[in-house]
Amino acid sequence: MVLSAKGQVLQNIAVQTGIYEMTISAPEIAKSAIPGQFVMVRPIYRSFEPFLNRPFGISNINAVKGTINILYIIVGKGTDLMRELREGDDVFLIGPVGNGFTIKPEQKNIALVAGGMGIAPLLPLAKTLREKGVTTYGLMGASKAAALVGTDAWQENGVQVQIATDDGSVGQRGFVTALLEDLLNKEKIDFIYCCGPTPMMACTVEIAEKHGVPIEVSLEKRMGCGIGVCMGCICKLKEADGSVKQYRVCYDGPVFRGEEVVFDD
Amino acid sequence: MTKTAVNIAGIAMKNPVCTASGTFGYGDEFGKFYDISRLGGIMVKGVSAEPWLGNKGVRIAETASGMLNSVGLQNPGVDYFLEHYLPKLRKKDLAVIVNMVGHSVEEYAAAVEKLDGHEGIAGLEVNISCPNLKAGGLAYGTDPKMAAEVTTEVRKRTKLPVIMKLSPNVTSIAEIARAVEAAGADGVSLINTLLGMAIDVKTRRPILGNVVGGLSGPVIKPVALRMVWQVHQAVQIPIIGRGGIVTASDAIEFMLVGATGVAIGCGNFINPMTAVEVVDGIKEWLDKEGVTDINEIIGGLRIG
Ligand SMILES: Cc1cc2nc3c(=O)[nH]c(=O)nc-3n(C[C@H](O)[C@H](O)[C@H](O)COP(=O)(O)OP(=O)(O)OC[C@H]3O[C@@H](n4cnc5c(N)ncnc54)[C@H](O)[C@@H]3O)c2cc1C
Ligand SMILES: Cc1cc2nc3c(=O)[nH]c(=O)nc-3n(C[C@H](O)[C@H](O)[C@H](O)COP(=O)(O)O)c2cc1C
Ligand code: FES
Repeated sequence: MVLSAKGQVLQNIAVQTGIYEMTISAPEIAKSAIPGQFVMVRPIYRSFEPFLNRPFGISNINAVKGTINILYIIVGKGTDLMRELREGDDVFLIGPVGNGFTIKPEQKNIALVAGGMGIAPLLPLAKTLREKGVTTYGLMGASKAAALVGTDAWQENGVQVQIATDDGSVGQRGFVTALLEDLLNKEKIDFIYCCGPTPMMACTVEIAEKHGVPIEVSLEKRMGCGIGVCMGCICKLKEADGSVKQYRVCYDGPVFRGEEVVFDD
Repeated sequence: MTKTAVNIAGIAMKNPVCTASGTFGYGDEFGKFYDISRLGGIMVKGVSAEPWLGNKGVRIAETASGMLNSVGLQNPGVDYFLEHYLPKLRKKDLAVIVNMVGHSVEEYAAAVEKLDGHEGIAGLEVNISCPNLKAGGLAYGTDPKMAAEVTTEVRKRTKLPVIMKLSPNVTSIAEIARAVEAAGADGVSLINTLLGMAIDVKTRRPILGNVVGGLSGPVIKPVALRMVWQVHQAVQIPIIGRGGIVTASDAIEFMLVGATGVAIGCGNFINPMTAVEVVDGIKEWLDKEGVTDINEIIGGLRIG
């Protein structure tokens, strides 16, 4: 059930240079959200500026306390305003939006592949997977040590973490996709979940297909509405009959079967 | 009891609030937020005789107090609309106004012929802001002769009320309104989006894949109000006004300058409850002002 709701900021702290984590009290959303879903955020409740709501993956779901978290990097106007929010401030939310990751009982060995802020939706997923008692590997790619987030939370949820950075300041130097190649060569993985920059997801899907491992990816597009009506967030999927059809990332996704996605822009 | 019902070119609505084409899909998605029967009407996403894929690349860019879109009228086509969406809309208690588009007079004609005669359609809204491919891509709505030609062709193929949706990208909106009135339009809808651009200085590229797009939101409200006011003075047929409505006060402003009905466009995006909040807000305002019939405020602007 998607809701538009007032959320109250409980905490908003820097977790890295330019990266923040916000805990929001939003009981109705927390009650129904599943990993992979996101929220549309308006930092100033009831204002008309900035005009559009911003999409953020839900990085933690606490149904008992009625809270959700978002993990966000400052890029522009909206996130700059979000950083200013303090305990007790109201935010406008629409959520939980979209379809989350699918989890099947037969999955026993799982790889999570994240690039940068793409780790956000893979954090609540790790928590859910731990409850199911499966073995989870978490592969994280970041530009440098100072841009790394979320891997502690993965570890707390029993994820076996490996890191790759562009400059080698932590973990292996290079791309996270190289870590995936190694992992797939060593271990029998039966499902991959991936979120990150588009080229990284395209490459991850290619590797997964080569090894015959099914994969789900969470796509990112500019969004006008987040609720399926503006047709702003279109992606292309390959259909069973070979044709290509257009889908809405916000409404039909953001999670899609990796093999079906046409990564053309 | 305050009377909020209006009649627009033969389309009866329990209140003047509609949702604008392209901002509300075909009604399905918003059912999660409220019962759409609370609205006066819905203008569905523009449909063409055959499906359109829309534009490539980035389709949305935010602007100061608004947004640009270059969706490019992606739609599943009239047949799909009739089969999948109209049956659901028919069960709702609101006026279903079908917005339609074409790239040529023949395409407009084909779309009306398919739409005509189906139960549950209260009227047609004809989008003439799209390019006439035979006239080098000039939008129909920017030339009085071309606008009239589309009106005539649609008019003669249906008994449904025909509402022409005017483009604001013109020097004289009154001239276009007069032309479509003379060609048989039952009403006019305005404004459509204003042509605009957004640039990313880092890459020195346009943000939109289509380079240019349509501007909407509160940023266009002053222009839209001025145009509705000018058209109200120029023609006898009723007006459905829109452009940047996000509050009940915005809607009332449009009625004061001459609109019989109003439509909420991208205001639906930023708060899914906008349209019903406008319905409630208008009612409250009427009660507070002691106005017993909403029709009394239409064109009630006090000047001088
Ligand atoms: C489904 C989804 C989930 C996301 N999850 C996260 C997350 O968990 N953490 C995080 O840090 N970021 C996430 N993003 C990206 C985040 O939405 C953008 O960084 C944010 O919108 C930027 O807003 P701004 O006002 O600071 O930037 P500005 O550049 O000022 O924004 C201008 C406009 O462009 C849009 N925009 C700019 N960058 C992006 C982008 N990368 N993706 C989509 N729209 C963009 C904005 O929403 C706004 O409409 C997600 C995006 C999507 C689509
Ligand atoms: C994403 C988007 C899609 C639109 N699609 C259509 C359309 O298919 N047909 C049409 O006549 N107008 C379309 N419009 C224009 C709106 O119906 C409306 O006229 C315009 O946005 C101005 O109103 P607003 O400022 O309240 O949004 C679209 C607008 C937006 C923002
Ligand atoms: S953002 Fe509007 S349809 Fe997806």
